[in-house]
Amino acid sequence: MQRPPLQLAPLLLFLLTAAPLACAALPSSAKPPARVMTSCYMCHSTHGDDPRFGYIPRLAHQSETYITEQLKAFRDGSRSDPPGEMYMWPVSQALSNRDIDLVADWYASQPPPPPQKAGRLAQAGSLIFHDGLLKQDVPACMSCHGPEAAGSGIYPRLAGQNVEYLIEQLRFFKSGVRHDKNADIMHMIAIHLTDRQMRAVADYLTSLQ
Amino acid sequence: MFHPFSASAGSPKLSIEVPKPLREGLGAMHWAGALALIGLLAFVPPAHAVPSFARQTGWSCSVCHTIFPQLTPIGRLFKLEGYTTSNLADMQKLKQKIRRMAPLELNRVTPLSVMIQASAAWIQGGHANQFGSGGTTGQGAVEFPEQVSFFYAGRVTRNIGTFFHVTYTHTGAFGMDDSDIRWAEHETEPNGSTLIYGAEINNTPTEPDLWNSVPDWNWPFATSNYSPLRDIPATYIQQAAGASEPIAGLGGYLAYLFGAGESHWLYLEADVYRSAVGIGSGTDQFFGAATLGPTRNVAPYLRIAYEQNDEEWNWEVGALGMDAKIYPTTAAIGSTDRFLDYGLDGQIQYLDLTGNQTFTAHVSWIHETEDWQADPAVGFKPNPVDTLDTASINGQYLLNRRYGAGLGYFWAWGTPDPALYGAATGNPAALVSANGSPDTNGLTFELNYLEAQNAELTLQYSAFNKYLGASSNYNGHGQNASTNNMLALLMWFAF
Repeated sequence: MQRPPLQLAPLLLFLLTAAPLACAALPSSAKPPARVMTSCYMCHSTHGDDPRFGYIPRLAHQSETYITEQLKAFRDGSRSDPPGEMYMWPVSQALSNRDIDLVADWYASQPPPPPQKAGRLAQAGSLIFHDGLLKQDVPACMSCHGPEAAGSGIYPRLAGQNVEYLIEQLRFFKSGVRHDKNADIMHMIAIHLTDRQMRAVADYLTSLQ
Repeated sequence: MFHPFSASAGSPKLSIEVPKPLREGLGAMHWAGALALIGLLAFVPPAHAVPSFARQTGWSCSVCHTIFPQLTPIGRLFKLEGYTTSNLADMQKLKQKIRRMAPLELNRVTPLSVMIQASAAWIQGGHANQFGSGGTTGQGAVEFPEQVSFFYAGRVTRNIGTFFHVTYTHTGAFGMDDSDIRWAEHETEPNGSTLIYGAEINNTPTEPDLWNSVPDWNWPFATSNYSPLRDIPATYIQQAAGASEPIAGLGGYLAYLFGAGESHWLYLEADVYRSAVGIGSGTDQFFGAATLGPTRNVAPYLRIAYEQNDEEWNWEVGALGMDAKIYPTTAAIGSTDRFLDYGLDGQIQYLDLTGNQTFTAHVSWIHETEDWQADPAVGFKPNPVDTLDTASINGQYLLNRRYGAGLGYFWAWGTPDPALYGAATGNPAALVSANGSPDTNGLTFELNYLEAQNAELTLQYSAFNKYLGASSNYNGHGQNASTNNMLALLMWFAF
């Protein structure tokens, strides 16, 4: 038998050791983590594509960093808003860091939720999202959330999100009810938005995939 | 439909107090038949909401309930999962440390709860109904307490949970109330569907159910023990509400959640019931022997339901059935009477939780065929076969989880049978039909105020359009259906 070239030995060693370790760290398997099935799915659904109620966010394909950060913020109480306090504070208390990583990995690895029907104000919402409202000191949402509203890192994915959830969170930002470490940024934007403009942005975002 | 001499202490819908010598002097089924018109358990399940579930999950009561005991979809999932959803850490995690050793999975908080109810009732014609012969006959009867319940309700192990409680009521003793112990597990499919399945033991048909359109959980969720609502003729499966028949059931269920977001639910349940001791039935029945005739073999119960969830809306349609063969006496010999029940139900629910408005409506219909083939042999002679139908439609609105209103209409109709509903029963005059008819209908209206999610005050009014066969002079003694109209003030709190 011909021996493999000696130069390949480090590569083989790496594959033999790193691959199992990588799998053990965060498996993106077809089977959801236990925590998803003992808690999360009851509201967010197993795949995060269609929560039980409109004011519950779709988590499918959400930024892993964002989910991780928000779960930890719920756990230490630094993120607060009424539904978050009622539902997520108790749930997050039971989550270890590894639980959080597994849950975030699961939902981030799910396919994007199917787009929903654009609302009647979607066209106006598209303008706000892409161009902002200069006269109202509202910057373009896409400058942080991305041109496709896909989010990145700490900036959440908004494409395909539920209309009710988006409007509710914008209202929480505007009224100052929602607190987290980035809430001040959104508060300074949301205070310039009318209810109709919030609806318009939500009508547009929910139709994206 | 027959009626136990002394129904469950756990049920707020309790029986006429039959004098003991009279009981002993007559065969059980004589009185069972004679009191058959008393649908003591018909439309008034006990109000149940359990703070220990809230302590276990950390969730507000309103996550799983609109108003108690009306369930939301999350509440239904919590029940399907065997009451095991917990956000508390286990006391010990031996399982991870020593894998071969059976784990210890004690909750850090023992799932105990207490529920207290009190009431005051004013009945237009006085309290001549179920307590009429031996109880208060004046206006404004006050019950303090009306009920006191002690619950062990929550997670036992990762897969096992209980909703188990005993209740003290006006009979002066504790008795079993509707309870179940269940084991549950779930599987997820790659296509996104989820199968939840479980096994349970319970003491009340329809207690394991998920919707409030079935007898054990239907509206109104509470009323006074003096309420004539408790006296509406009822089918066997309705009378069993609140653990009021001495039976226990072993069953299994499965729920298949499919479609986008598992928004379509198919629920199947099958149980077999058999006479049991340890099922409370009045002052001398707590963990004692039943005085009623036992079931012959087992009484099967089947349930199928479909639910669809769509954002704020969810709705359900379902069917149920039960076939019970009962011996007329405790001797359990000879032939049996047979009660064959089947029915349809539906529920629609609107949950605008961000606007803090909820609305739930229920509709139900149950048909019963009563085959009294055993009773002539023991001297009780109703028609060979009777039928009884009951139906109800009702809706409840709640604003800000604080202010509520409910409105409903109810019907009962069936074969006239003087042996069941007429003067021959020996019942108090208020519970006698001159024409032997069970036909009864009327409405119930109530206003609710919740001081907190676990403390509620209700003002309830019920009015009868027809009572036991007629609107006026229904009993031949000049009493009209409206004399049973009632205004009640109800207090409920749990901790």
